[in-house]
Amino acid sequence: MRIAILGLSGCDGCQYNLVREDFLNFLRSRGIEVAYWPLVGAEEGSGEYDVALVEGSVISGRDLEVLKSVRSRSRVLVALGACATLGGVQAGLGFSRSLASYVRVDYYLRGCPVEVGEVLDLLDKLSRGLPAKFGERRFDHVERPTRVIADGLIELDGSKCITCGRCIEVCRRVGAHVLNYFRRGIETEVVTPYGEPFSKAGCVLCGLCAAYCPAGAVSYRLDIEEVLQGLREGSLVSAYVEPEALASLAESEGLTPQQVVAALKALGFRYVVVYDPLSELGRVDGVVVARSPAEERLLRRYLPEVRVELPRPAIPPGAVYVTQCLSWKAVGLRAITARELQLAIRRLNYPTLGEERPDSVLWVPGAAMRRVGSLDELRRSLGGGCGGLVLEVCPGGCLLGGGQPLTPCTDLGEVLARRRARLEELAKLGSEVARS
Amino acid sequence: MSSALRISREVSRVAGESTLEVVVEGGRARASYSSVLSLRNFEALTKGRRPSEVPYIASRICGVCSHAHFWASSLALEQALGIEVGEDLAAIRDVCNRLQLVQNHVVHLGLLVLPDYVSRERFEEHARLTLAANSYLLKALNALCGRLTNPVGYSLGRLLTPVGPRHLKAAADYLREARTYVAKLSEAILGLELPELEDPAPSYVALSQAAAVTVPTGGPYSLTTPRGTVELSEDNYRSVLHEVHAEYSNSRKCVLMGEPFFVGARARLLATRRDLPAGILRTLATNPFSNNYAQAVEALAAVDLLVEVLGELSSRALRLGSSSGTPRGSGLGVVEAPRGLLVHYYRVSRDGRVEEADIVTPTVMNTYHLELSAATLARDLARRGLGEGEVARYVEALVRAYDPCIPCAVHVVIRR
Amino acid sequence: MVRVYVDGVEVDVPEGSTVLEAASRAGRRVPTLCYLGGVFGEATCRVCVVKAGGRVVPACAYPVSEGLKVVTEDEELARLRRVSLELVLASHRVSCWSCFSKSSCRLLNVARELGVEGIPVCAECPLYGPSCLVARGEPCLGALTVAGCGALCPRSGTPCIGCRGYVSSERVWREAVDGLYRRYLKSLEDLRAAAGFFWTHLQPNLRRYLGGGP
Repeated sequence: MRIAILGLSGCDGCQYNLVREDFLNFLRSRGIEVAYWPLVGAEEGSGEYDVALVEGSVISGRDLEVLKSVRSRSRVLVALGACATLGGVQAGLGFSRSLASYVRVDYYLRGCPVEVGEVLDLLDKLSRGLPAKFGERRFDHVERPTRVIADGLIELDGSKCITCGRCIEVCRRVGAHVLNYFRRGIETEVVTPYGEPFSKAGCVLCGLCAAYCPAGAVSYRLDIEEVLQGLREGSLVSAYVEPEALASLAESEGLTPQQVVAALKALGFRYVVVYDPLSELGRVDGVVVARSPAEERLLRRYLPEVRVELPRPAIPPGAVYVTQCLSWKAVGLRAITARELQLAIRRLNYPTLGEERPDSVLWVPGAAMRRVGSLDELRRSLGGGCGGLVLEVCPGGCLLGGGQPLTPCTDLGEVLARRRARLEELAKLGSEVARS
Repeated sequence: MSSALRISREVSRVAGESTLEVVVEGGRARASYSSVLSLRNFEALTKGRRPSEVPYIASRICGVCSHAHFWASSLALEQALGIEVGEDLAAIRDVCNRLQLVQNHVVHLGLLVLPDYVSRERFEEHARLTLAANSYLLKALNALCGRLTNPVGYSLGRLLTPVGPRHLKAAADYLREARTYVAKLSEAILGLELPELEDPAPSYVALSQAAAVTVPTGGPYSLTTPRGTVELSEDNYRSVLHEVHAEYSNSRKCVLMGEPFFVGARARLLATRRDLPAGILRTLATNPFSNNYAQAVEALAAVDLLVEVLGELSSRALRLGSSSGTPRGSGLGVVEAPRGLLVHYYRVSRDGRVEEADIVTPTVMNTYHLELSAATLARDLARRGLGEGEVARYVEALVRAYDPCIPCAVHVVIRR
Repeated sequence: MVRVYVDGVEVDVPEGSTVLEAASRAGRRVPTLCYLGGVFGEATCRVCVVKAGGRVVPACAYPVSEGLKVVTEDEELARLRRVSLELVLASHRVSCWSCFSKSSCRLLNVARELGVEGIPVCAECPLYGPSCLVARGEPCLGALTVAGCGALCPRSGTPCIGCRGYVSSERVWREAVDGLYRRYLKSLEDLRAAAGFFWTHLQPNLRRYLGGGP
């Protein structure tokens, strides 16, 4: 593939930002020939090109001549950057125009400067002969049901729902059966029975519907701004973080557990404690341990004859509990989910995070409890006595809990494997901290 | 008998589009260097805007040295508004500017200049070093101001996002990684044999404090020239640095008190680094090609200085605010951009809008000197019997020695 | 095991696998929206369509059969996927500025993959609630600007000046102006000034949302 990179009336910033290792390595690895790029001295000038990346806007007659010439000699013309796509900041004077004002443009690479990643993606598709055609939007708005079901903790906003059904399925799996389809065709809605608020509909507050909704239609109350405010004021100083929450945060953000601790400190937490309330509970016979208030609710509803124990986190004043489970927010505990922390730490500049160790680790990994993942499994296991059983209903276990960070990856098996690995790293880190 | 030599080339391996025309006839030579880029008229673009918006427009004058415009415009507007930037914030801004200077020099030397001097194999070797250094320098810039082109997180007199020990240490770490590559590149450049050329107007101009500071906290500004120091303020800068018509060309030429001059790395070293070895100083003083040597020396020294400064800044609590002084209604911002002195002037009206703007860029300041040097070079080479093609290559290499930045050249005559 | 051919690549997969699983094993990526491995594969969104057995089918739910030939990428599939996503977006009220999925939006990821424009920068910005620049009174154009930059400027405290161009959907404009800007900004004047950086060629019919002169 032969490409040309040139500028009309611009600042050269978009081109200059392509003079870097990753871009040039990419070109080499694909055998892409840079036939014309005066900035770096490639000067064929008058040949034909497969792709021409043109930055800068059209101001003078010369700009227009060059643009027309390049258009006629290129299979694909790409407008590179805000000058080419919009006319640039100089458009304010009235005589600067985008490329599309004069010629057909095949692709827009937006930004001032462009995102190198987007340039690479486009060239990648084009070099593989894929039809990465850019088109207009044709449908702007369709009238649909817009009912909002809310109770202050969980909310379902029908106007954002795309009726995919993920939430219905995961709620069924957990065993709460709160959500279902209603009506048909364009009128289809996802609702609770009679549109009642979640709390009245038997919701156990696992939060999985919110975690898995791809459209942000199901949400739970985010308390992260209050936490950040508390840190600023000094009324909050410590974070007691569940190991699964920390491991998942590390995985979703591509950080090591130590970097996540550093991130928490950068947010303002003075002390970071890895804390697993389950570790404090020894093996108790004759009792099923509920991992969280969500499991407790399920057990009280479906297996009322079973004795349930819910280990409640004991955190000091000035501390916030960071958990993978939404349900802790409903029991008078100052709790935030790993998802909320994900939102907060994304404001930090990750490459500048150092590594830090937790100040203390109150967690015994691999404690002597057997995990069961559903009520059915529990019923089957109860035959052998219920000692040492802990119920975790989120599919995949707590590492894929309802309050965990959102992830774009759809292969949950992969996500789980990566989070397990981080959990092991954290366990090792924990024993080092315990020893010192 | 002397045959006429006519060279007209679009210059490649420089930022932007420009043309050099040289005519050698009857033992005399004339050169004309002009921009092919259309006028984007940034001065007019800032009129009527609020001061807080201007740095974001100014940084888009040029995508290569955008920081320099951002800081120069910020300085000028802060003066106009009476904002006094605290020492620590000033130090961090200076770090960002100097970081960009290193990045610009490294890419220019390693990728744009070297092909004029070495074989393809050696160029490829050094290109790898250059790109590796560039990666680390970009990371350092990202840690402090978001990106290479159009910095984020800063506004007039303040930071919009926290910059603390974490960011400063990360930048220092990246710089340490870059150092090995920068040192190797610098060595390679200093080992090049430069063409001989006697500077027809060896008059340098640079900020007197350029060794320590490239973004001074406020005017008036002291410039060092071979004849002594000149104080630059908003009242006198138009007479100190002004434009005259050159008799042989249409373009306006920038002169310092009537004389052609040059700015840039070479000027900065001559003005502030008398401690350099005598041999280097001699070359710097007499040969315009030596600006590339100067860039190499400056880049490495800057890396070391930056690591030191960042180390100091990250080791203590910083006071990153500014204070309010008396608004002056107008202001001058003078910084050392990678290619030399950069001047921004703004006047702000009573109702807080920009009324007037004036920008003088290093490339403009260098144009006259570049033309004189190119003419001298062409004349000398023609005398030695070189043909048009060879002379053209040499003068192009000379243009690159100046590292011109055409997007910045807002006043250079437009060639249609 | 069942043998299938994905884009000409031969793979063996367990019986009962879906075409999506086979494609994954063949190293071929198929865009998905509602699919969630191990939890949900009910083909309700129609984004993961591929060609198999001479028909257009949803990869996440279509079962493999011996000798099945699958095509994961061509012009028609690209067009069909875009239509599916555009329809989804048309029935999704954009309110990224206050959305739970902020900075982790799956709709945005799929939209970028398929080249569908219409989701603003708020979708990728981690500033939420009171930390949002608009909530702090700043004229950040993020709610109207095409996403894709990772919201670098807002997350660094710098209000977005719209360098990526404005979202073309009138509905998004209406939601953003009524639901966000009018709520927090005293006047739209600052916003108009911000739109004056890159959007001077604003279409006249959109001018009515921001009001004022040029």
